[in-house]
Amino acid sequence: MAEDTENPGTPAENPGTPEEEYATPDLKACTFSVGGRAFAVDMDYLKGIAELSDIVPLPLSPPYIEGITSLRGVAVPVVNLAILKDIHEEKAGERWLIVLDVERTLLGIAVNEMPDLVTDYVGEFIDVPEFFETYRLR
Amino acid sequence: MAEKGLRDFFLAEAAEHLVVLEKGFLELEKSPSELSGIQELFRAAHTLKGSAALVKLDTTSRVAHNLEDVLESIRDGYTPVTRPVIDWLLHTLDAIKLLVSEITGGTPESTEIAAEVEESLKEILSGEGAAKGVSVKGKKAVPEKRQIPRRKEDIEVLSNYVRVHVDNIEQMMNLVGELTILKNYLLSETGGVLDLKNEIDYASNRLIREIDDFSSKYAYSIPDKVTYVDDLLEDFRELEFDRYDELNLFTHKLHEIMDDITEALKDSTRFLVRFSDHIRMIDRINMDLRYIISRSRMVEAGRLFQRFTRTIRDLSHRSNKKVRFIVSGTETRIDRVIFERLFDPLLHIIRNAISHGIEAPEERISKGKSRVGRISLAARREGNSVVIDVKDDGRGIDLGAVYRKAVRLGILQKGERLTKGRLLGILFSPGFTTLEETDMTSGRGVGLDVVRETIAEMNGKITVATSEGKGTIFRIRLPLTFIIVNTVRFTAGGIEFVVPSSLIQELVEVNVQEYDQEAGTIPLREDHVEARDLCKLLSLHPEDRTSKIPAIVFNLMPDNRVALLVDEITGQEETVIKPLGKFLEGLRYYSGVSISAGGRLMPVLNPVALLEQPVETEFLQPEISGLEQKQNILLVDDSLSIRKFVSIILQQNGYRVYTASNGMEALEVLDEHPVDLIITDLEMPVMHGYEFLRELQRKGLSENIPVVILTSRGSEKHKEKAASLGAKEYLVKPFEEESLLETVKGQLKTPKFK
Repeated sequence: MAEDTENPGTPAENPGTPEEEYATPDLKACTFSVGGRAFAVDMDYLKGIAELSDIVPLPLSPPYIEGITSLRGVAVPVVNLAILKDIHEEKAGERWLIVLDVERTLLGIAVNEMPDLVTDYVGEFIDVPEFFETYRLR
Repeated sequence: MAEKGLRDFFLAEAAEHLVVLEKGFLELEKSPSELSGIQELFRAAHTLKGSAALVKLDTTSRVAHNLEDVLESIRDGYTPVTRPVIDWLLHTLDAIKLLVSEITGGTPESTEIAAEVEESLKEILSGEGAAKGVSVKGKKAVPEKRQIPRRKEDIEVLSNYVRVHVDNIEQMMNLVGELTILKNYLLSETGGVLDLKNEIDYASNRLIREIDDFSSKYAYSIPDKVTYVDDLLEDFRELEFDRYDELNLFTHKLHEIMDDITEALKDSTRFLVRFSDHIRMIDRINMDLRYIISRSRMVEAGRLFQRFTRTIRDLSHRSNKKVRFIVSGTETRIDRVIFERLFDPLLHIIRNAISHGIEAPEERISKGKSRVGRISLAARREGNSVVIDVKDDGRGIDLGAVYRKAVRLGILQKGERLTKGRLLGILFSPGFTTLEETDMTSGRGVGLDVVRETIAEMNGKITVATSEGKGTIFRIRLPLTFIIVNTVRFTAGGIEFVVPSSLIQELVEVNVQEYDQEAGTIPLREDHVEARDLCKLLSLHPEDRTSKIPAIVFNLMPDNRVALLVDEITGQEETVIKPLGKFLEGLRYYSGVSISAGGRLMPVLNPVALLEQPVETEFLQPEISGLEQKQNILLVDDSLSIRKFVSIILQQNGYRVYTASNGMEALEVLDEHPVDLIITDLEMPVMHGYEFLRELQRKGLSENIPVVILTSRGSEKHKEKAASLGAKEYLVKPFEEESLLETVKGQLKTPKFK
């Protein structure tokens, strides 16, 4: 797999264009909300944010696994946090995928509202490696 | 010749060890007291000795053995590093190099070299014996005469080999995989462009016909009304000058334009032909590339088999049995992944063969067999698979014991009759082993079920045949490579899946009536085979089912065929299969994900896990977005742009759309696909809308399928006629997207589930 050069987790190392310079100030977390509840993940695990398009369902998988989606030819599991945390959420037309990278395995969290990159943690903090270990299928 | 291949490998390996040794000796020469690197040197010499022995290069092995001894003695502090010792080391290294260059050149080893090396070793050892670990100050270090010259070319022969990390090969292979995806995509796109070209062809022909019709009609009916515009020609009488009226000029121009279009189309056809040629060329190059890369990632089966020699010797000693180990097909190349993952399964089978299969020598003799039992490992290539046979000439599997055990475990009912093949299949059931107590040689807690699972994970299968008193054969069949696999694509409940072709016995179609749901069987030739409905297994709603259901027949275990009923077989292609990744690796029903032309993902079903294990239903989930039943709309219009435009609108709103350009085509679509709603134009070639409506009525279809008319004719007369023929709604072009969707939604209010 090719290295992702658009990794927004490390813009500070690559202050190429003015826009990027503008975006550099110590972004620490990626925050998002699910059914009105706020969550945050550490920027270090953020691989990117993508528009969520076709999801291929994987029948017989647990309900919180919506399926897999293609991210530049790589299959990324899509996790539905609303189901996992038992949050009621309206269906949305447009959805986003927060792509996390845990030791080179990608994992996506589907959200209805555009996530935000912020300088401080807001809302419920999700420890990504722990989350990964807890919910991965063995 | 197997030996030859192994020798090549030895040469590649030797080159590396020689480099290590040479570098180490030279460093030792520089700082004799620095012994931290000696262990590495010892290991290099040791490995060199072992690998030389494996390929029967006895002299080389003997020389390396001497080297190993001296290095060991240095390491353990018995031999001090003196000048003569270093000289001897270098000298011996040269001797090995010379031997290696002889082997490379195809000449036999000069056996006298070993004797010479040993002779010189005695010399230094005796000299050193006198000094006994004390410094050899008194003894002048006499540089030994180099009988064996250090030749530069010796090293050059070895430099034809480069060691590459497996990861690099893996990456190259991944890239080849991506190329394959891209190529498939290009191919499918070219197909689309060709369709488009045909549409244009068809449209332009229609246009020409229309123009001709129109101009001839016009010329005959109203010739006098033509106004002449060219005042320069006013003075001429009709017969004095060929005059062109506007219509004439107009049609003439249209004809010219049509000619241009035709010409351009011809060019584009030529281009497309060339383009497809190029894609095919890319395909060929890509295949070659893939072949070469996969070859470099492959290792000879002999290397895998070699690893069992020792095990078999030890095991047969321990169990007081005499076993001869025979290998064949050692030059067969197998994927590195197989090489690594097949060791444990093979070891398990071999252990079983020794502990349960091969009899004690006395028993063998009493049976009229030779004292020494035989276990053979054979590899061969069959098409795109590698077949590995493990064969023993022991007592065979006691089918009676298997049966009794199966009954005891509740796998079989007492008195149940079944074929020998099926009974053998039970051996692979989880937790099944006929030997009650575990002994030293086998029964390490893993059974044949684990063996089968490991092989299934590699998309392979295992079968067994046995003959009482004569022996047993386990046959393992594995795909040649793992990254690019030939697959069959099919759908179930609107999801497209793939299965590696290597696992499929055949594809058949069964009539709905022939599927015995209660018994769960379908007829297959004279036989009945177990059948499972994939939609049921996965809790999906079947889609597009007609009176014939496609079935994929697997032969996963000997004599135990299982058919998987699906919605539609959609094709066969070479695809790239990637693992699902660590997060999802627990999903045993899938062995990976396939990436099709255009980057679409398709889960790879693991039929072994799906068909033979009870499906855990606790994960079942009533509704997953994207799984909702899609409704099918048939769109009939002779205009390509209307078909495109309306299809897009409908698809965006979650409908599945079939299209047809006239009534006749529409009827064909209706024969093949279930349709929930029809949208049709009125004016169309071949079969117009009213005829189509009448046909639908005649077939009794308009009662079940609502028909919406979409036409540019807005008169009441047209509408009434349509309504009288069973049309439910009438829309006039140009139409609003919203009114179309509302109409469609209104007509589809009550979805039908059959």
